[in-house]
Amino acid sequence: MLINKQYFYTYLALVQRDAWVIRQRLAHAIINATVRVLVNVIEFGGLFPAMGVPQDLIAPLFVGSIAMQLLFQGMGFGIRTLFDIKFERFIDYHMTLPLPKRWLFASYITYFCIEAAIVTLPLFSIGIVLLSDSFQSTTPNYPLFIIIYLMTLVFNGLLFLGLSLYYQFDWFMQNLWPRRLTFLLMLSPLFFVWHKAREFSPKAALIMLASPLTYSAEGLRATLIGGSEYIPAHLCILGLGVAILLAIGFTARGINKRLDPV
Amino acid sequence: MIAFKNSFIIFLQFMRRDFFTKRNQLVDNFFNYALIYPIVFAIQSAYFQGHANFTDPSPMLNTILFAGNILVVTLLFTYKQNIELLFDLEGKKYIEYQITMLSPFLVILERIIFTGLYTFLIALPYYPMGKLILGSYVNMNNTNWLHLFALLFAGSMCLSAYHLLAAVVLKRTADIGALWSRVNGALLALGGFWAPLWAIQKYSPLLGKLVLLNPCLYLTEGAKGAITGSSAYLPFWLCISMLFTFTGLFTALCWWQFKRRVDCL
Repeated sequence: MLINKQYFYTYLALVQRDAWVIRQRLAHAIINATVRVLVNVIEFGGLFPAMGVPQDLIAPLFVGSIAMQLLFQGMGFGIRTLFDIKFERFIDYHMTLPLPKRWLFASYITYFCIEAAIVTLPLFSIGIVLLSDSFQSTTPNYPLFIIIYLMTLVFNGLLFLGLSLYYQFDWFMQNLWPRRLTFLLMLSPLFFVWHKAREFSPKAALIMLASPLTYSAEGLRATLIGGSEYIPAHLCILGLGVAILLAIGFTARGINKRLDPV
Repeated sequence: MIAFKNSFIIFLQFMRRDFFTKRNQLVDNFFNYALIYPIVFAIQSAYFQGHANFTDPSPMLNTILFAGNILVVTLLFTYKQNIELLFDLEGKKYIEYQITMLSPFLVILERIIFTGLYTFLIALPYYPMGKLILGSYVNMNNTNWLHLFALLFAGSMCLSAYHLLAAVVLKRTADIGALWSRVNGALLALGGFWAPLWAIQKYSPLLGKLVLLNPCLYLTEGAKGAITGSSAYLPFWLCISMLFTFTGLFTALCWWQFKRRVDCL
């Protein structure tokens, strides 16, 4: 019990140090997020309707784009970890800390979750305010939204930590997007609603259920917008739960492969 | 005359050197950018988005959605090739060795031309591959292939110059995220990746005028016009001349910034 408490304090110290690093970059992150919000609002609130996209699809498409932003955040986190492993090797110092590896990597994931939340929560809140016309008839369920949002953050953190540990530097930089992530994106309804896809292509919609991004996009839609147009939130929580377990397994393989901790 | 000939020979040697160093990645790049991306974008945009997001889906609409996606391929590829200069400037500074042998302007020009040609080669199969995948879901019967390939060439050169400019303007590699979040993201979204110019003008006439400063728009508008044969998009001659104008402008700015950064005079 005492040892666990000690681990927890070390973990907390690591998270505090990460929070300090995030604070240094906060101004940059907020400027980046503001530009993204404005561009997304113009794109989804203005250009899409001008092209003929029905007004009732604007809110779900905007929410889907946030799931995409989380993926970009994850990619940034993955690249930073990759550069550290390849060049700086700060991770070597972390590995020598009197802390079980699961606690150490939990601090990495916590760091990602805090940073991604700081960047994407303004996207949600300011974006929804600016697109208030499209969000008028929504029935949000905030407790479920927080659960799905946190699960999405944890999944993205685990996925990109695992990818940065599992693949070699050159392969990651050269091939990760085209050979892994684009297929994941192709099979995910980030830029359209899953039920609409099921109407004209039931088999493809069925295949999409294998992609974790489907549950993250549809879960965020179901909890922020509400209604029966989306995959129910409890199914999304189940889907994301399974995806997180698989991502933990994958990350553990990556740790063993790259860092070989004794 | 002899000096010019010598410079030209060294210029060609540098091109050869670049080809030599990049040839190992040629197959990988071709597989990723000329095969996987067209397949993925064709299915995502022309098939799923075209059918799920619009009340009246049509092959023409699918074609427009797919046509704009070329921007991601060219923007990503030129970025990957030319951002290497930023890492070089932060690290070994191989370019400082190059400028002892050749005029710095020609060194810059060589990199722009090499990446432009490489990108053009990689982007060439994009539309034929899309047509192969999508079949009757897209309408490419009116495509003017000569115009389309000329635009791809001009667009590749322009974005190559743009990303080399970005590489010399950025102070450190940590700023790359800001480049994508603050500049490239907006260039993509307001550069015809999805929405053509007529939709931007319909939404806001002022924004419709402002986006004419976005070089990416001329690539997508030209490509959409060349593929559909429609007069709803900017004319070919305007697009190609604007792309070359932007190429010249970015090259000049790159040269100016490079001189300040490397202090080569």
